[in-house]
Amino acid sequence: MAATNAEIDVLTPGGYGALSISKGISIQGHGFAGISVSNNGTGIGITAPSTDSVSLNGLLIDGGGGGGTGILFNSGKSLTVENCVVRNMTGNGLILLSEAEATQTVAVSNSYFSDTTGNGIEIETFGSAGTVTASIDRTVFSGNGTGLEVQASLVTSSVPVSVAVTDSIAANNGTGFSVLSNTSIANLSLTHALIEGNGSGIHASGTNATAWVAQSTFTGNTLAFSIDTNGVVNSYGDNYVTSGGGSSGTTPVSKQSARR
Amino acid sequence: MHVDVHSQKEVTRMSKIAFPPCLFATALLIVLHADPAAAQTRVFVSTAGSDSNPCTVASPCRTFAHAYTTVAANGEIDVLTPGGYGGLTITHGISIQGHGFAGISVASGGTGITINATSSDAINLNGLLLDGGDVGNFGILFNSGKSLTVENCVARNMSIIGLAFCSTATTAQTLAVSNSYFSDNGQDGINIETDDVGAITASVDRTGLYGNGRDGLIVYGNSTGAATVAVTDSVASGNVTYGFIVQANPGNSGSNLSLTSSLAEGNATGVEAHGGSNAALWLAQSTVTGSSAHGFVADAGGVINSYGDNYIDTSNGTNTGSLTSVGKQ
Repeated sequence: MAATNAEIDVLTPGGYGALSISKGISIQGHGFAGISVSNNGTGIGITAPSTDSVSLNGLLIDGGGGGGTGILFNSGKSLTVENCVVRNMTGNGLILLSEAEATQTVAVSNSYFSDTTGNGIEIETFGSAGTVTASIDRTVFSGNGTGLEVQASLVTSSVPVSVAVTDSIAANNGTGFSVLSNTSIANLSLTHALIEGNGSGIHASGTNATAWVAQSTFTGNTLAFSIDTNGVVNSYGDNYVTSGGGSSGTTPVSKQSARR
Repeated sequence: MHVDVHSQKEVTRMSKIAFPPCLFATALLIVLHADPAAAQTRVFVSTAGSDSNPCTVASPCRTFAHAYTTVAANGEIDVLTPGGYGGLTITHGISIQGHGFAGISVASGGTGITINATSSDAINLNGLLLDGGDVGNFGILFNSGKSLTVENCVARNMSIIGLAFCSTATTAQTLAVSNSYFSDNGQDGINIETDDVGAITASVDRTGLYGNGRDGLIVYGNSTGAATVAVTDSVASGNVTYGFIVQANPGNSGSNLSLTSSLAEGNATGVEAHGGSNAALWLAQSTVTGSSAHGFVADAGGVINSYGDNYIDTSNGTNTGSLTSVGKQ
């Protein structure tokens, strides 16, 4: 049993089974540590105190078309996911359900979320205090119901959520990127992203749901932007929209000059 | 003791078939069904394994081909040690995790991984090293299936194509390639081709296409099915004919290649849109340099749309046709 804030290091390729995390920990899987998620089960469940950081690196989490959730983050200070593959789940690849009354952060880098029935990643806030911020870079979402969904809960009170995505891809999902809210502020920032072959490229729905889009390419989507129920998509005017309804419905916003 | 094992039947059959690649492979039907009662969701291979083993982590198998016969549909083959594991034909959903050290030496006239799956099957290949030694025909040949994901793979030295994604099906098919390398193949690094009414949607990012005998990457609307391909943060360099080319035959319902933040360097022609009125290249934030013959070519009805923020310098040869200005949004 590892100490709090200690490290589990994987020595050889193989499967190492599911895990529930209740304290700070680092798991270094080196890209060859497998977790087969059982039917309707969860690969890694995280219910840690608000002081604890959890780092997952180099894990291969496969649901085989039957596993429910790859990574489930309920509470903790922070979650870092690097160099991981999460695929073939029936629920969500990675889901943060923030019910803790605290500030929480998520960082995802160089990872793949694919072929999952629900969301590749879902960042969803509940509760009445705290905030959730997340960064996602060099990450691919392909073949999911929705690639990335950012939601300030639609069904109960919630805390603000802000997610920034750079250098990432949403391809061939039902919806590429989705931001939803009718309670607290939900922001989704996309910079230098590729949004391709989705039913809807970006979906913004609900009062207080806002997407910010810069230097991003849209091609082969049925609809590049799906905006409803007072949702907003702000465009910096430097996006490449080759098909799928153009920028209809987006709101022009200006870049900020570094010097005047 | 252990030798990289290939299916000799497969090799013999394929060696008789000539280019074009995307049509001959439909004749190839090798079915290796797993027994549902015995199938495991994750199986293991190792250089120390044996195909008489049950493919567990404690008793791993030796080859991909045998491991595949023991794994459940939508299961995973996991590689335990660096080494060669032989070619494979895939007919159901599968994930192969090679960790960057799982080799496949493609025999003369053969194919490393052939995919003949159904329209509901997702295929995931990660961390494979496919080498044709200048005699193997194809690294990865996708004929049918729902989707193919290729991550962290290398396919090189094939006599024909590194990755041939050929939609011979009537249903939509998708491809996602990331952080991979396709180099020194006799014809193309990546060939994405529609050969029936089924459409293809493909994304390629952080991928290198180097020194191939014809094209770095070609998108070819050869039948009615539409092809939509987007490339970001990728490089085509030193390819003998084209860095990136999109081509459509008459009757193709639309072939689009989007290049964003990518580099075409030192090819004969950097980028080209060719044929019909349905071949379109969309160019953004990309660099074309050092092309020996042409920086860009838009001809035979092909269109190159430029967002006006590309870098096409004077080190290229002449250009053919013109760029069509399109606005950012």
